[in-house]
Amino acid sequence: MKCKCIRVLMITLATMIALTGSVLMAQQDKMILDSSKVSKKKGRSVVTFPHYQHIEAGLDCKACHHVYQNGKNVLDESQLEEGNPDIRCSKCHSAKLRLNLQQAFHDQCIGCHVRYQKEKKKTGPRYCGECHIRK
Amino acid sequence: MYDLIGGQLVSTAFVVFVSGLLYQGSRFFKLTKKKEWILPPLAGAEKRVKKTVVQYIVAGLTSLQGTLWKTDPLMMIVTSVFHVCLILAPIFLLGHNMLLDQSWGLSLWSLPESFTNGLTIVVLICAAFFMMRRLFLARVRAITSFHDYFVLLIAVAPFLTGFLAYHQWFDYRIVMILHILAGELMLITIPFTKLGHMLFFFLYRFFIGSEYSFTRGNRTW
Repeated sequence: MKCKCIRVLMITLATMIALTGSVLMAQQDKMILDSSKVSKKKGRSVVTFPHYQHIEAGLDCKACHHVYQNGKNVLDESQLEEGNPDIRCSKCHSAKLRLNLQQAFHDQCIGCHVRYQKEKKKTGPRYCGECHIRK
Repeated sequence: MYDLIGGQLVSTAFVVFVSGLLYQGSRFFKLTKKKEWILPPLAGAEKRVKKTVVQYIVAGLTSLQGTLWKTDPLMMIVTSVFHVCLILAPIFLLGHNMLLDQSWGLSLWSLPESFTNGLTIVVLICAAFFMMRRLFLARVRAITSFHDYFVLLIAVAPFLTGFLAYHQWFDYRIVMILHILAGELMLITIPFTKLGHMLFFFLYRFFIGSEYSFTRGNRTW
């Protein structure tokens, strides 16, 4: 009887852990950012973006994902689901916008990495070839 | 390390570069003022004859006889190509313009990267040609000193390291740091070495040139 109880408890625990982890599991560890999918211009090589590493670093979703209205980030976090076309950067950052897609990505990544560098925190790459790695 | 080399040192290099050029420019004007001016033979003092277009072209081509075109045409071609590529490549380089856009929000147009890569290779080949000349041509070697090799190295280093960085050969970070350092060294040394011809070329060519042609020996500057 006692043994069965422990088994049920262990299965419940395992299920709970699997469930809580599911949100993070849904995120790909590494994402491929390929400009050729939205732009015909031949750019530099694709960027492999370690998404999970950014979550591990303690950044919350809205540190990067944003919808700005009157200078405030009004993004509804429940929208952040993989495959949702409305949360893609290219949804807003088109060629017509002052910040086009390329500038948006550069600002988002390099801007933050430079800021962290200035604050003497552990930071990411800032040179072109550190993200756009040649194969 | 990057903070220093990619931050304060860049602005320091630009300040030294601009103020150095201003200093040398003002020195140029000051030193030439002291001179006593002797009237050179007046160009065009003889009676002007109406020339046909063909005669104009022939006269223009004959005037090239006294220049490098006649004495060393290969050097003339290589040096022209070298200078054009040397100026175009860094100014219209995509990576540089991206950095400008990042920090100032404005940038120039960019040439395709494969094209600027080609320009860089041309600069490197021309520089190799200059070095070979200094090493193997007796008449050039006779007037070559260590300073000449040093200046050539300073001019070429940003292109060599930039080429390595673009192709991501060797350790990328180290190559990038060397590239930035090479650029800074070039900016700092331009006003104080032979590389100053970047400024003085225009002064010699146009001011002094005009004195002997349009302005009949008058100092107009």
